[in-house]
Amino acid sequence: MTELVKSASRPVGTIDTDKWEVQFRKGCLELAILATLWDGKLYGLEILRRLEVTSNLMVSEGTVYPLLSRLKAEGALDSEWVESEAGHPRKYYRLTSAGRQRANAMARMWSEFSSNLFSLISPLLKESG
Amino acid sequence: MKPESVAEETIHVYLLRVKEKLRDLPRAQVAEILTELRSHILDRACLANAGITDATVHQALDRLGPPEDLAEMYLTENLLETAGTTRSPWLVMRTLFRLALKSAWGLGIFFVSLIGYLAAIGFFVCAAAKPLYPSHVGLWWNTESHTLVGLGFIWPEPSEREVLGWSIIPLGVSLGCFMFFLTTRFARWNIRRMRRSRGAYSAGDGVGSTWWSRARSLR
Repeated sequence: MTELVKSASRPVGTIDTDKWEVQFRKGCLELAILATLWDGKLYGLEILRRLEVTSNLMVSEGTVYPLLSRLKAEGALDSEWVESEAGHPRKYYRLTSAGRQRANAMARMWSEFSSNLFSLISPLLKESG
Repeated sequence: MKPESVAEETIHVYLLRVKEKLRDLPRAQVAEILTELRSHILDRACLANAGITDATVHQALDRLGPPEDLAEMYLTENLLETAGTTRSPWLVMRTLFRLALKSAWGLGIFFVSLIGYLAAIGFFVCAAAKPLYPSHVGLWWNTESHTLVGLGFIWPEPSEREVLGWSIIPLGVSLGCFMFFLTTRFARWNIRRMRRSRGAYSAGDGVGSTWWSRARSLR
């Protein structure tokens, strides 16, 4: 009952879209990580910084490392340790051939999905603009 | 104590808490995870103008999130990966227990698998107990009412006729193996299915499947 009262007092749409945005951003993360590695090998922090700079995907850093671990276990990524000038080793990730195929398929699916959805939502954007 | 030492101590304590939660994973894998996290924390702290201090390390750790949550994400992802192919019922049940805590579907799969494994154990126990308690292990059938009186280990011995005799030993072993095999297959299939549909983000926050994993499961 208390929860019902709380949810009734919330500004309409704010909470729902916040949750949706979080899920949406997280849903894109796997593709985004594979895309950052398309041009070559990167270590964890470089992947995170590239995500922040190029895609504005503000993700929890704690989410990315277990995801990298899973992608490696699934054979989409390969990794190697490289000694850095900072004095500690860094784990570099690169796409495997299976990972490249997967990234490619995901990118095509994403592109098709977003263009279809855009034609559907474009009237909404005109109205709000 | 020097600022670097304080920062090192902070990192050490954080990684120790992660390590404690990862004790189910192989040591080599845990060591690699901890080395990577340490490297990340140092790199992130170095990005700050102040360099590696206790404050910058704390900022880096805040970005990583609570050590228990981080370890939980590693654990679920890795256990799902391993349990999808393992033959170990212990690992399968441990993984299903984790999934049971996260969804009603996982809870259902956990209980069905638990019943399956308990049934398999029951059949094996019957087969093993028959030579020790021959008159108390068997299948009793009431020939007048044509009803089952009891199956398994029964004390005191029923007055009805026991119909299986010593054949309960090979039968118990066969049914035990069959139930064990069937339950493991069922559990592994469900783990793989849940792994595909849950995507990468279910471990920490219970968020549903990614668009990619959904699309794959629909194919």
